[in-house]
Amino acid sequence: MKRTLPLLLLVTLLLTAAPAGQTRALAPYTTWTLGPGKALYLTQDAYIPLDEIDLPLAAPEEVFLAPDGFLYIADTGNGRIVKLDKNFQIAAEFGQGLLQAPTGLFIDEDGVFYIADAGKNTIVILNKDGSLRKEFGRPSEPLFGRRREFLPRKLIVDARKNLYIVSEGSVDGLVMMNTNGNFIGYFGANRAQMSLKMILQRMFLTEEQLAQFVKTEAASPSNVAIDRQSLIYTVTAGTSRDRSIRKFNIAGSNLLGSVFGSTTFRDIHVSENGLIAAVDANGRIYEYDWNGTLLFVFGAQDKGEQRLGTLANPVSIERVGDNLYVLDKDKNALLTYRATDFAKKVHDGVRLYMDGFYLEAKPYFEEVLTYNGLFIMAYQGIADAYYKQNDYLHALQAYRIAEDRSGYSETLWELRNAVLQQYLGSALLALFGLWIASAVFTRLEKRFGWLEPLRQKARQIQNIRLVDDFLFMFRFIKQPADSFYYIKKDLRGSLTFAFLLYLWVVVARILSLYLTGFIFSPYPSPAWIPVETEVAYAILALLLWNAANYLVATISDGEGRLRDVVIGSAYSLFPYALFALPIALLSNLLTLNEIFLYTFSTQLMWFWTGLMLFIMVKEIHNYSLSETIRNILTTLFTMAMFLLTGYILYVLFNQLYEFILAIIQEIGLRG
Amino acid sequence: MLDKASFQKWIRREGSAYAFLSTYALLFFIFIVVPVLAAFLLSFTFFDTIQFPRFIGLRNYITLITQDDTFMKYVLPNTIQFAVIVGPGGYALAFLLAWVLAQLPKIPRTLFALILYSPSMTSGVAMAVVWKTLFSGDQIGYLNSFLMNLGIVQEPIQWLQSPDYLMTIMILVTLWSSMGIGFLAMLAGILEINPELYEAAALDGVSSRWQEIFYITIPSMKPQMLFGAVMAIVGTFQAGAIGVTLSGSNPTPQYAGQLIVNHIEDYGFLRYEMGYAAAVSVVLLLMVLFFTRLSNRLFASEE
Repeated sequence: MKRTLPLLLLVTLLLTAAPAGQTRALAPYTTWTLGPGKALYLTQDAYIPLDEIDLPLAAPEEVFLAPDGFLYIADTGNGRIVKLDKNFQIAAEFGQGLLQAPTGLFIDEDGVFYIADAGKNTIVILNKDGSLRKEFGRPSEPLFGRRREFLPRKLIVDARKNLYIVSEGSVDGLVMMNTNGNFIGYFGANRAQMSLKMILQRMFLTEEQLAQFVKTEAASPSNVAIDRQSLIYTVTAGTSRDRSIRKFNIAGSNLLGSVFGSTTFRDIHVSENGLIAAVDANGRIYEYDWNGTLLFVFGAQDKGEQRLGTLANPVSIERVGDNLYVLDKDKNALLTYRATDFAKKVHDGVRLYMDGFYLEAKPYFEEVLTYNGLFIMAYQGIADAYYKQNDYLHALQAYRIAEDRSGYSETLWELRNAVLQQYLGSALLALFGLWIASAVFTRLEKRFGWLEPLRQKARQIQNIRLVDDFLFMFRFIKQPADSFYYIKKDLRGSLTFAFLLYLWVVVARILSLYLTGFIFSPYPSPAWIPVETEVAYAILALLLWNAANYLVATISDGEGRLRDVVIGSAYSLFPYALFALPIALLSNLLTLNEIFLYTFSTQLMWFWTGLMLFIMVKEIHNYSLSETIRNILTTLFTMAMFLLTGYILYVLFNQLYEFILAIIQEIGLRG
Repeated sequence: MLDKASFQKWIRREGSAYAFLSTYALLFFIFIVVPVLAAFLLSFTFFDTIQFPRFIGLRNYITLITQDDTFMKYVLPNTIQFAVIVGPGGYALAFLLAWVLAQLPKIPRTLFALILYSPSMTSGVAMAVVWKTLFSGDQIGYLNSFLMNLGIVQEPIQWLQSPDYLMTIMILVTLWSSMGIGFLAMLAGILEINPELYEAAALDGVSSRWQEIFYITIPSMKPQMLFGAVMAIVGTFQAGAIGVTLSGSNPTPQYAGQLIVNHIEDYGFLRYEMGYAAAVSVVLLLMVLFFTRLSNRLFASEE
């Protein structure tokens, strides 16, 4: 629901301005990009379907752009590798008779073919002319595992001619072999998930019992790619979305954090300049920059309508220049997509940006923003450019839009540092001077009594009830237990002030949401703050606590009256009332370096509030320690019950309302 | 004349007291006042132990607050986290164990007191023998092999070299060795309380041991509690060796276990920036002072 507004904006924008709008009619899908709040936003088409080239193949599994500039396809069903010329006609075929069902294909600079044959479960290496160079199957080394199967499906070869093989069902990751067929090791395994239940089982069950369970095993990677720096990328179907794409360094540790991915990825491709493209079983194509930031997602599944650009069973993706080629196994066809001007601008910007040419990339990103003002990656690039130019004020704004908290923090640090360097010395001296002056003043004041008239005035003001109630609040800092006793004995505190305090707590809650610095705010911008819900939550929590606590106390020997509970709870909230706003304001001056100060003070405030509530329950109801704990737990339980009941009632009345509405409509129609 | 007479009178009356005091005052002045003053003065200078200190005003302090990333990002949070958990935690632990021991007859009590007190004396040896073996980073370390047998971890964890765990382990070990001099003082304090107080309280309706603790034991031993609190605060802020001993390096891995004292050592004795180190130690002094004042406010009897 949050994204409706920007969406509307975008649609109007598209209708009025976008020059790419003319191509929209062509594409059978919509294109989305990552926008504010890390949500998907509709954007102009990044790629438009160019052609669907039917090929005389049988269920092909992989398309590969060889270093010689030609496309090669593993024609699985016919047991051969075919070479396409520039007009997509079959120019040559290789490996006939040698191959049974080639599913994985890789060609190195020398034109040597590396083929994973799923029919024979072997790796076949062919010379440039198609003659057999080497063929080997399951590694014989004991390290491979005694009962491990070797079911090669896909493979890549790095610069040192090591083969990284996707073996179906391999829980240890990619199988790493050299060209002689020696097993080197496993690489880049996914992790199995351990649940508490499994840990307990392992603790208490015997070996035989454990053997009866299905073993917990990690998902095996489903496809693999390599970039020019020999970094290896895998996609894994059947794992969580955010870990579905992984990028490994030479040590086999994942370099990508959380990625906006898919659970059904089929193939991945990394281009020369670091653009990542991946396709999933639903015909969606994902494009990322080198760091795994989503640029575009588009594509649609072919449900029998045969529209150009839809995919029935995509198995392989390849980038050729600005075009994307997707091999469709069911259609026996190669689908081509052409990058739009918009996408080209994005690519140019990203390319320069990834190479560290922030300043050079900036004009491209600025142009991208004229196409689509919600393209968050562009703001990131622009912000980094400003930062590099030492234009910190602009960088700060751009980082804020890009929602890059660490960039924002760095920039804020620079800005703050400039100010501090200039003024901190004098400020410290001034503080010291003030301290001495005030010490001297209090001494002299004590002797001469200059402020006596003021003090008398203050005492008069203190006699006003509300002011006294307010000052009473500070007594809780040092003597909480006694102060609650005062409330109980009607000595101090009043309902009026309690309600004022509640009001202030709610206001402080909302204000602190708005005033918290960007770095520490859970919301990307103030516009995202759901004020009504927050107010409702706060009021609901306060109401429920008071009601539940009073009700529970009445049936469990609590001495407090409703009035005591209400006033006591209000005063218990004083740490929040006093400190929430100052902490929020302070957070504007802090950077991530000092995040500790923020979290620590916030935690302290909440802990203090909790402690006050605890003491309140204990003193107001005159409970012992264990009774207090029991009362608080029951109160929380009652609050949950209230909520549940409220929800059930809401659902029931909703039904009733709809029922009556239906009757009225029925009467209207028939009568 | 008159002056001289009154002076002699004063000497006769109070001279001996001052004479007795003078030895201590002299030692205190030489070994406490002078170094603190020197550190305070040095903190306004640039001093590399070779050249004569050069006065640079407040620059050290400004650098500390604005430029020293490590200090703001790791050292200060670490120190406060460490102090907040180990200070009150160790304090409460010391009090609880002292209270438990106080319930025992004399001989087992003395024995247990000795056992509990020993970690704080022998922490260096115990650390090597007990904790380093327990948290050993290879797969035959006790904790690693235990967890791997259960299948919770797949490969051994470098407990003492890993920034994720070092702090937790430091806190654990320090809590274990926190039964120091404060503990002994509290034990003595509890034993000093007149048992008749408890009897009287029981007649007045005190029903549980918790109430006894809160209404009799703690109020009756406020001075010992204050002493214990001050010792705990000073102890936790001064603790620095633990992280370095456990991880075997200063700075600790990725500054995970870096406390203020380590920071001072780092700048003072590894980089020889004495002026800066002095500034950091003045800040440490101020922090200790602040928390001591706070505990004074909390525990001091109100007179």
